[in-house]
Amino acid sequence: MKKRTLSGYLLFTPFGLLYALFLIYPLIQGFRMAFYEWDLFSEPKFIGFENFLTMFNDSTFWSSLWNTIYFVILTVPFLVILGFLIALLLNAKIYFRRIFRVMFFFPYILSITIVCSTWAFLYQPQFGIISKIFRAIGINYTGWLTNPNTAMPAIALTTIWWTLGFNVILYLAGLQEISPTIYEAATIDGANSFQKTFFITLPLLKRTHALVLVLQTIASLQIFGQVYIMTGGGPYGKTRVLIQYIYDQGFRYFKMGYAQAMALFFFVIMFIVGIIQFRLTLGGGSDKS
Amino acid sequence: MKKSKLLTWIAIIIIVIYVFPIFWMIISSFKSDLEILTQKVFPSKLNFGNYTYIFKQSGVLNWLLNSTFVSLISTFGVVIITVLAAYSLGRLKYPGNKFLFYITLAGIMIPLQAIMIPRYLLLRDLNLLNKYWGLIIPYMVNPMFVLIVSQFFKGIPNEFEEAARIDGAGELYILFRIMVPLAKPSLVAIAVFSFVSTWNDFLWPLIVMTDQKMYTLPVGLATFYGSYTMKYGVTMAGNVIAALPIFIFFMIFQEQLIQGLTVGGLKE
Repeated sequence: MKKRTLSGYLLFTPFGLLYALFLIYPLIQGFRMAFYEWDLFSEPKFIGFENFLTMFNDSTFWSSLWNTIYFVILTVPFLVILGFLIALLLNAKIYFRRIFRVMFFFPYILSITIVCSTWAFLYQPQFGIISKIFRAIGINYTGWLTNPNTAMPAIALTTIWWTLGFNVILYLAGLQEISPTIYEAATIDGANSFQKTFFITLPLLKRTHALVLVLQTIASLQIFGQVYIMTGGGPYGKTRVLIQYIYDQGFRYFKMGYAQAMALFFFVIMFIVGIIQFRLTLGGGSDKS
Repeated sequence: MKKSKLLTWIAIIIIVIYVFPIFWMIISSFKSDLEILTQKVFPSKLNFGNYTYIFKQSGVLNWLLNSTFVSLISTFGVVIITVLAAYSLGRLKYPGNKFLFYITLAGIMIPLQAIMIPRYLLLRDLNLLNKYWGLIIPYMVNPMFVLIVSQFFKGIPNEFEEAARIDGAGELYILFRIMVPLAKPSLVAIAVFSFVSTWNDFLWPLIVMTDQKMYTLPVGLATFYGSYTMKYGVTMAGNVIAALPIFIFFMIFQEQLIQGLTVGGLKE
């Protein structure tokens, strides 16, 4: 018994140490830093809540927060609904089903740089193919990434394309857990395929809908790379998102304390969404085991 | 059991539209600058100029090696560390076991973006900025992985363990000879997932590596493209080069990767 106790601690140690050093310590330090004026060159100076006051009075902070939320609104519903519909299609009795699934999932594992530079090329005003297609049908619009009104939707479309496969996979996993006998019973009762989808599949996937919705919201709130690569936050700051603003304040202007105050704010948002996720995935009844 | 032709056709149309950006990326990488400017759909001949250009003009090869090294080592490390911790949490009973489990569980709630600045300062104090280890070691801690694998260990029936214990086997023997082989699917899944997400990570290497030679592929290419905005043929060639290793990896491990995603609902 004693020996097993020792083994237990010893085996946990490598993870425990790294966990304490790279997650817990930065987290605690992050809470402290937000109350300091902290650049890389001089001694940190305690300033109380001043960083938070600055933050609440900083219109760029609010616009970055809004742009982040706007991005969530533009991406999450599509990713959930399209994910469901495409999973339905790829779960149906069709030819080449396996190949289709693999092809659909592939973009998800491409790195952000590949995805964004390829889409920047598609959106390119003079010789991008999207502009060319639109010109062919009589719409002479080319400012996808340069017009303040379409820049964020364009980034959202790229993101949807990039990550949709992930949600499709989650939905496919959910679909496979539904027992075929339920459909057989419904067929005997004379239900058509639309009724079966709407009244059986949709409600039975409640847990998957919730999971996809929350995971997707978490992922979308963290948006940074797409904007960094495709627009740099422009035009006119219309695509500047919260993480980018934190990154800029911290690593370009070295306002570490201020950036950390905003990071704390971000942490609180993520924490709330995380609690919801926790309740949906690990707490309560599980249909996984 | 009849397969639907109509649905197959719908799927084909959607897939064709869906993979078009990848098709366009590949085909454009073989076009000359003029063919891109004039918006020709197909290049008149396969032109490898963009590829030779990219290998001559930049540190692409260097970045490729950095990415490979960092992803392989951190994946190896995360699997070992995860297996040890997961066995401790999932199979061994000792005072504090529950407490450590909940601490680990809490870890999945910490987003990297919220702690990137103090982490950066920590690495600076440890003199690990611009070093491979500064990038690699933080990737080795993943509370989510530990939870997934410990759940897997918990599900293994006691009989296997009991038999080995009667024969006098020690913890490490039980772990590596009995538990690990039985939990292999989950371990392969986290390894594959770790490799792909490390390979593709953007934010963390962007912060840790400031010397261009130390960039990983995604960060390196992003800066490289930034300075050659109009050279789209070259950009697409770079994308193809960057996508190729991950494509091959994907072809080999797609099943494990998909399994890994569905096991834990992982999303970065």
